[in-house]
Amino acid sequence: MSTININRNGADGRVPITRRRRGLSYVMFLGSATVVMVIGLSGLAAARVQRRAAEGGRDVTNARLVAYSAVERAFALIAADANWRTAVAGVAIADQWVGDCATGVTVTILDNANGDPTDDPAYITGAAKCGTARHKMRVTVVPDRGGLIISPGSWTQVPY
Amino acid sequence: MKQNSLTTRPMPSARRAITLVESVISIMLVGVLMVSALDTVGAARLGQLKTGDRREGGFLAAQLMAEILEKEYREPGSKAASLGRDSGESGSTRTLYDDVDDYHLWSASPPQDAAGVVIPGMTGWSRYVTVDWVLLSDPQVIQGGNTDLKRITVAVEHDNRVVAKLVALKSAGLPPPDGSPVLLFVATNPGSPTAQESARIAIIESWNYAVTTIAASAPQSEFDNAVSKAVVAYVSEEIDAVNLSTKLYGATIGVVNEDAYMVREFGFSDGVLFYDPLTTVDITNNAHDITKSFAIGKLTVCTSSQPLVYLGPLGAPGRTGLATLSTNKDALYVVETGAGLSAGTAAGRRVQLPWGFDPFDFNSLTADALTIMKESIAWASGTSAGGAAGCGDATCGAGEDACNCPGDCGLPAATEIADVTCGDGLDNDCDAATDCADGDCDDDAACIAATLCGNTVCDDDEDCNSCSQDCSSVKTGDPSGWYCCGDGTLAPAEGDETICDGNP
Repeated sequence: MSTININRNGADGRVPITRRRRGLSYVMFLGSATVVMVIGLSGLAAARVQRRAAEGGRDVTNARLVAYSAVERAFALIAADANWRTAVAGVAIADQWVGDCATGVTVTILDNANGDPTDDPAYITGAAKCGTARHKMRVTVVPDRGGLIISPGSWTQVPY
Repeated sequence: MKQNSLTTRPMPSARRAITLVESVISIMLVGVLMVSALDTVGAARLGQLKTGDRREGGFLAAQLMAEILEKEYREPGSKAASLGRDSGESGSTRTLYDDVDDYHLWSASPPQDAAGVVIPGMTGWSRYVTVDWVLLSDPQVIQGGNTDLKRITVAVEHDNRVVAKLVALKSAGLPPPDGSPVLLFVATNPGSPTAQESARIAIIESWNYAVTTIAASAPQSEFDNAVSKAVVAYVSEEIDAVNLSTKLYGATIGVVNEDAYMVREFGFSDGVLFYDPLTTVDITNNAHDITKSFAIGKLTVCTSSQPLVYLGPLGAPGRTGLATLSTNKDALYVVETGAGLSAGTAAGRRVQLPWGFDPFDFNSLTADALTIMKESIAWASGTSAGGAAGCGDATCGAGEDACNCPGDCGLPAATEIADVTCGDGLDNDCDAATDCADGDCDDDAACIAATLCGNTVCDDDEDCNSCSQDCSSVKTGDPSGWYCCGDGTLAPAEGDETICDGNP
């Protein structure tokens, strides 16, 4: 007497072929969508990294430019005040904004100890903060024939 | 058979198709996921494009800003307070732009190079510039007139959207060196001149000389440096002749001397001098620039009796007398460059004034005496109207060069040229740095050799740490080379803590 095993899934216990293919299609759709989404998310992350790198580069450019601008502003302040050695030097000139960057500038007299304060050179140091970038540059000015000139080759970047 | 057919026949549930609900849910689920996924991909791509735009825009803005900042604050030779292009400058090409505000309201789409040639591949891009005067105290505040500080804004657009913007300031610059001739005034203490010295300096400055002072006791090297920047030196009676000694004997610039005790050091006499308390001198020669304003005869030079000086008989053989106290008592005389002194010849023009015996009251000098003093300085410096070497006479005479008289001597060179002009002893580009001291000469072979450690000079790239034998406690040259910068210690020699390791 032979026994016939009958159950819901079929005579041999396997899922009928049509039902299995129908499930596979769901998986394929979901898988495809997931792959596309992963690719998209990866691209989004990469774009974000690229954007931050570009912004970082832009901030560095801006900071360098604005630190230079701070020194230029100090030139104008010195030229506008005959008593700049006492009025401007030795104090941090109030911070200001240039564009989207914060700047500050200091003027430091360098006493050459010859007894004549009018021929002492001075450092002018401009600083800038733009986003995450920081930049500070310094130049030396020296008295010359009643005026001031920039000491040749003295533009230099200094640690922030 | 019947049983067999039962085993192969699908169960009713297996045969059943997906329900409508299942289909709708599946379609919605897959649809939402696909839309989200495509949105994400699109956003990522858009972000990349925007980033690319910003980067490209940043390059365009930085390039134009660098070009603008190379220009002058204002139109060269003009003091007009206006923004915008000047006569002869056009909007189509920037090659003739020479000041920053020539770029005011300039724009171009697509971007162009300085010659006006369109940069390829930039369709849809544009650049524009604005330039404004701003407050010195707050560069965010725009002003309607010149403030000596300009704010330059460069913006770049792509498809009508600003993708990059740069802001910078440009000033009218530092107080310029005085174009007036420089007079080197020898004083007892330049940091605290005496009242008599201050009176002289005030008078000289009123004659449009830029006065620089030097201590009589300064070393010869300082005198040589100061003389190189001046056209004439003035020695007042106030100094101690022992301190000055012969430091100006070989000066190639003119020297006007008051101090009677300096006549031997300048070679005017063998050391013998006399004085008489008087108020007048006798003008004996009015053919000279110094005395041309006066008639032959007595001239009152002091309002009260003062010790006026005259020379002994063994004076400089090459002198030319202009005034005496009495017969054979030369009190005002000059020595032309190359003429004979009591020993040797004069390296530059020399004048001995009749006053200078201590004590002497400078304020007692009459207007005529001050005229003699003024014309003496002018003659010695070569700037007297009738002099042979005045600036503006179309002749590049003694004491003139491209720096102090470009009208006569031609415009200075733009730079020193390595291996060509870096050893000629001249400041060819008038930047107050001569030959190897000029950064333009960094590549000059002789300068490189001269800046090696051990040459006894503390060069710009040396300090106490890198070259202690040249730079120990040296306070000349670039300040960064003073003392022991960089050793992390505030050394006693670093003094006021404003330099080197005491510097914040």
